[in-house]
Amino acid sequence: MDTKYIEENTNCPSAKEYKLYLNGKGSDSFIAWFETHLKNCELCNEAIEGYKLNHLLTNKFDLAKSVKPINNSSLKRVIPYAAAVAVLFAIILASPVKEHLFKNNYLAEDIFAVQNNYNKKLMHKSTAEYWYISESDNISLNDQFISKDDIEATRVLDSNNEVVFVQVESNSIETTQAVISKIKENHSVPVYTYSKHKGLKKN
Amino acid sequence: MRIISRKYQKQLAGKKDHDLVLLYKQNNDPEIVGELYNRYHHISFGVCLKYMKNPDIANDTLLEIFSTLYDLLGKYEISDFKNWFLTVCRNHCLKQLKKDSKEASYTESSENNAKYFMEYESQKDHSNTREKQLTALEQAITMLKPEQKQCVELFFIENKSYFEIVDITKFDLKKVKSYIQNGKRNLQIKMQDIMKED
Repeated sequence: MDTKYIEENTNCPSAKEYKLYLNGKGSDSFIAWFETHLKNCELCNEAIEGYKLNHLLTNKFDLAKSVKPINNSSLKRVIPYAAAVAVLFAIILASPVKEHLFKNNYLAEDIFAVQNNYNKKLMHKSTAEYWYISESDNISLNDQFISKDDIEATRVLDSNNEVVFVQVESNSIETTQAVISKIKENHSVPVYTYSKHKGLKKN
Repeated sequence: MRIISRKYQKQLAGKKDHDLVLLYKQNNDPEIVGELYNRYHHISFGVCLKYMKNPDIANDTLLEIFSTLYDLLGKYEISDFKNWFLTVCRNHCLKQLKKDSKEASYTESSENNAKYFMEYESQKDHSNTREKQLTALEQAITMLKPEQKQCVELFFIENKSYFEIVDITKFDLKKVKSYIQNGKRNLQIKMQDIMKED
């Protein structure tokens, strides 16, 4: 850590470095670097001022919740999918796993609770990706509609992702297999599929 | 669903703020605002905290600020992003405070309106807790050992740096860090006792 702070570093400190500083941790050269930065950066100086009293009152380093703002152009892009999502939503509401689709992280034991210990090894795995292929071959990742062309290029970046779950309601085995192989190509973690169709389970 | 390319994200992460702003002017790519968010969200949160005094409100304000960036980055010539961004944060917080004070005075005059009454009550709860904490802090700080009291006051309340405190008190840096940490811990314990008694 020391060498980093001896070198000239003009970037603003990271959240971790803010926390170190407020807790009086870190080497003397780190503190010297941080305070030199504060002298030259009004933005960080005001931020530290904001954190200090709050830190003293709560003894916590509160951080902004990790939510990114939604912009209008993203919303506009989503609108064309709204109709498809509405159809998918109706299907989801009729499925036994509907309540889990609104979470970002899923546990196998929740998703497959209705399947009588479908796979015991899987029970405590968690995933950031829960794919769903509906009866009418619509595809969603978590609760968002995905076009078939986008499957290969779509993934959720999450270092805690242990497995990928795919719930299949589709009757078309060919379509489903094509989708699953695309998902597999794009992931280094195991892809687990649940389907009521025996042929798909074997895959 | 946004299609994520790791390579593109890495490219953005390697660019300077000024280059990101210029790139955004060319392609309006929201991912660029995402990169600025990664770099500055914890800093702008601190700025919002300074003005809004409440972590939840500061968080909402922060998200509003980043939402306005999509328009603002395209509108203005920005030579120094950090200074410009600080001004945006300050202005947004001050505007929000003005708006809140107007809403609060309107709420006081319309207490029969259930919705406004409930919002007002929740705001009052927030500020009451904060008031209680500050009162407890004032009391607790007087109970600290003189060295701890001096260092805690200088660092947290007068916003002095560790090295400035070394200059003022003539303690060495290790002692200053230790007085602040121990003082902070003792302060927490004493504040909890005072708040329990109340």
